[in-house]
Amino acid sequence: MKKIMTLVAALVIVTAVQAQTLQSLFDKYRNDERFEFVSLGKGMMNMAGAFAGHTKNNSEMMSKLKSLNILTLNADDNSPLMKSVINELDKVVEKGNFETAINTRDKGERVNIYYRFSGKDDADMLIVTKEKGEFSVIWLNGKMTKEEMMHTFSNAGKSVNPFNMADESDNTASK
Amino acid sequence: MEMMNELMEKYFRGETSLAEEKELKQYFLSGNVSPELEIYRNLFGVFDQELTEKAVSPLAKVLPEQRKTKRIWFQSFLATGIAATIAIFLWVQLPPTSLNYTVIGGTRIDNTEFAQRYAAKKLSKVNTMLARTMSPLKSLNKVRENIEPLKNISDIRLKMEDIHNKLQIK
Repeated sequence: MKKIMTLVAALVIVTAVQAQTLQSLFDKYRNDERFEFVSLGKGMMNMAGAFAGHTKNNSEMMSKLKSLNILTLNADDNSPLMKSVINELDKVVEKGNFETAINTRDKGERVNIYYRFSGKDDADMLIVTKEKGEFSVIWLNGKMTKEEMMHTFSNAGKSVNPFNMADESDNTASK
Repeated sequence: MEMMNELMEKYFRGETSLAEEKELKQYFLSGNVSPELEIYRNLFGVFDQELTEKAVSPLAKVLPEQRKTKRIWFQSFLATGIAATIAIFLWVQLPPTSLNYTVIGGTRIDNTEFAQRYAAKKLSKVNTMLARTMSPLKSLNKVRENIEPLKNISDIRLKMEDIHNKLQIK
């Protein structure tokens, strides 16, 4: 009985530590004045999607999301802060059992999409974008099966518009 | 003598006061006990003897255990009390938090619509970047669509070879 209790406790601790790593990265920089941070709770992503003009198929995906967090750093590419944040995120991705879904690079622009599943259908999707002077980490968490996640990525290959959103020029997001 | 008899009767009915019981005890210890009441002398002697007895080992063993149980209860109540106090303190101290907010330049903006627009803009930007970087895939898809009829040519060739083989056999 004692052994089982110890194992359960160890499992809970390991799961908590794993979940905390990405969370702690966001917690570390969310209130830092050099960063921009946005947080949206359940149900609010549909609205965000509506602003961005995504279609019916993707609204279904958006409705499954529980939270969306975006952390943006506007700094020189060679600044120590930029290097440090990128380094920290790489470690989080490596230790957090994330798998790479999409990895693109074009004229100094980089988009990496990672995903992982923890627990029953509990999925995390991490979109990392890097362009000149800007580094963004978009963390989407929700209840999604592996098939649903893969469907999103396969759509990305077919339509070249995975989130089916309108171009930036269509939006009037205030920043 | 008569009085002692009455007191004894009262004693066995359980109606004697402490003073009366003390009087009875003194009477039996005096040694001047009437033969009628002699049989009860041992009873009062035993009570007196018990008073002088000291606790033996089994009792000494029980006492620490009782204390331990009491200590565990006390510690449990103490721990529960502390935990409840901390929980209430945190509940009172923590400000009500909304999940929809933006932090720009270290300043928190509790505006859901602003957060939504900001998120939409970021997602849209990702979309644009992906569309740009993955555009070669689009060209590949077009090439694949265009070479689709070539598949039919190879099918026709296979059929022709098959017919040719059959004709040669004949």
